[in-house]
Amino acid sequence: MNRREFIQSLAVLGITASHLPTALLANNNKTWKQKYDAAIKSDPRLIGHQNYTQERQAESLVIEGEFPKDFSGTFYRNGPALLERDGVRQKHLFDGDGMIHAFKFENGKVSFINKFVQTHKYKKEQKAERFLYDFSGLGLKNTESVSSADSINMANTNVLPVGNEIWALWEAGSAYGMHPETLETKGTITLNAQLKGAPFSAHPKIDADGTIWNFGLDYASGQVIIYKLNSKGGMQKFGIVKTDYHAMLHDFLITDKHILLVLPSLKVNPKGKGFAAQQQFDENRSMRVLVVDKSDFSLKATHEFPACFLFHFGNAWEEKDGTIRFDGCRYPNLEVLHRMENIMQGDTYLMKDTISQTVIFTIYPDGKTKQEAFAGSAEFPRIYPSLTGKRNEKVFTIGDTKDAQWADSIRSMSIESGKIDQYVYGEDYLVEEHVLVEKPEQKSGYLIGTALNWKKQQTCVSLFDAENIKSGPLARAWLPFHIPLGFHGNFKVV
Amino acid sequence: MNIKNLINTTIALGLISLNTYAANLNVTIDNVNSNDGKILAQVFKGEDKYKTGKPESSIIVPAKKGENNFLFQNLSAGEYAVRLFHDINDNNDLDTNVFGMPTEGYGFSNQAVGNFGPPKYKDMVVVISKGAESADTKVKMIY
Ligand SMILES: [Fe+2]
Repeated sequence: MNRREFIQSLAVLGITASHLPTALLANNNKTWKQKYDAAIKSDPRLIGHQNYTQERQAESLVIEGEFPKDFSGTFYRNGPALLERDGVRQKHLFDGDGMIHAFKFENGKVSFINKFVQTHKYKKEQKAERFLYDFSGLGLKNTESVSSADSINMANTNVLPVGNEIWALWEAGSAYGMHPETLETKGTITLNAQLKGAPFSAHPKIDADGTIWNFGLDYASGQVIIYKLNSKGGMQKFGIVKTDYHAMLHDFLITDKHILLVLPSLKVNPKGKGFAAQQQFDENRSMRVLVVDKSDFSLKATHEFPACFLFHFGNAWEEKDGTIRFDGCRYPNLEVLHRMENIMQGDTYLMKDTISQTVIFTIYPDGKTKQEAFAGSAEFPRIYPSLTGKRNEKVFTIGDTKDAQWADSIRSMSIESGKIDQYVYGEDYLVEEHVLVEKPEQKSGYLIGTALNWKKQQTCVSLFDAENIKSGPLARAWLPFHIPLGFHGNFKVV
Repeated sequence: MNIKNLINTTIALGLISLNTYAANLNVTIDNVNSNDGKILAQVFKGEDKYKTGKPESSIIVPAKKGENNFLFQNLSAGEYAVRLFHDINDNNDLDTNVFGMPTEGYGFSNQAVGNFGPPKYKDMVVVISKGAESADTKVKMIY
């Protein structure tokens, strides 16, 4: 090595910017907590967003109905749980430390365990007994610097069984590997040296052959990394797609031939206090769909739709003539993201004017586009896993039927006929994502999901016949306590 | 020039200039995470030279887990900044990921750590006073 090379390699340090928004000092966050503490006394539905610190285990949950003997496996869920330390409450629901909840089904019995993901941030703050990282203007003193995205990785968004592990997923940093039974954290997943610390989104998509696809957006450069992993999580290939997009990118889609990067109508206001606060809706910006070739990651086409925002997509597929169709849960703007700040200070979360609807987006071979919205609120879309990237008839969502605090119902909808099969849990329940456990014969199976009964202060997990939801649960198991409302999960069949 | 030569040259230069410059800058890193590889460090005199990447002196020391000490010799009075990295895989390069984020440990004098970006020069400044024989600085390695 010569002197010039030596200097050049060190010079990288001077020019490398971390890619996170700048935190600014803000108001008194104790007030934030006080507001929430006062609000929960008058609205007990806010229990779902209460600070949660207990790692628990429960054997032989109380069961209503009967779980089929051949229904065995583990239902994993992830979500923000630790929301307060030392009297300080985080401002945004996305900023809680992730906790994995595992419901194990075996011989008609159900057991439970939950554990925090032992992230760098969680371990450090647990030791210090206070929040050390101030990335949303909490106004903390003696903070630690945020030197990389992984230094504040909260691993709180989704959990995916991969090979002999489960991966706790976030959006802006590495996945964390964990033991599938004990839920012990092994550490960050490094797919290869070049990808260390790179963003790995919380919404991987899995092809019928087990191939795991994912993306990660580098906010600073607008470059999107595309990952192709084998079914055990081993790196097969990665590539970069260049964009001029620097805002939040939560989910993506695959078809049999393409990767769809759907860029919603967002821009970044660098003055915002924290990641969520920096995200702004831009009504003058089209929603764009980047069609990327799965074989070489080349950008094939870009299509535009009227301005909107979406967190989540159900599925995409291509017809013989090249027409691309996909569905997503579309919001008219970004209000939903900012309401998740309100809910943290105890504002009642009325969804009525931030409703998301299932929309089918169509891109014709000549580049013309069309979108059709379906009535009723819909979020957390899921499909039968084997149909990922292929034509699906039904999309399974949760929603609210009357201004729920969270969601009060589940449904499947035929995107061809609009026919709905729905079950309303009722207003005592805060309903979370429900996922499909497919039977080998395909297009049939179970729908499983959790709901928090805020009156009983207990969480239940319910199993439905996915083709007959309206008849209600086949079986339901009750935890003797509640767990916090979370985001996403997946079922590992045994 | 290989590493051995670089070190020898650094020492030789130091000896030659012994009469002109007097002070040493003692650097302590207290959180090196392994015995593998080496630490490559540079010292800059003043903000302009830091920003333009023109070091006063460079040094390579074997890494050891825990606390590491080394010194830059024969510096004249003035304002200095140190930057360094832990070349854990001995490839003589600060490895980065696809987006240019360092994937090996790095650090700066005065325990400067960037927040949402690289640290500022003013946070890494160490002053060698006129007539002083030495100055001390600590570096926090960021992994
Ligand atoms: Fe999500």
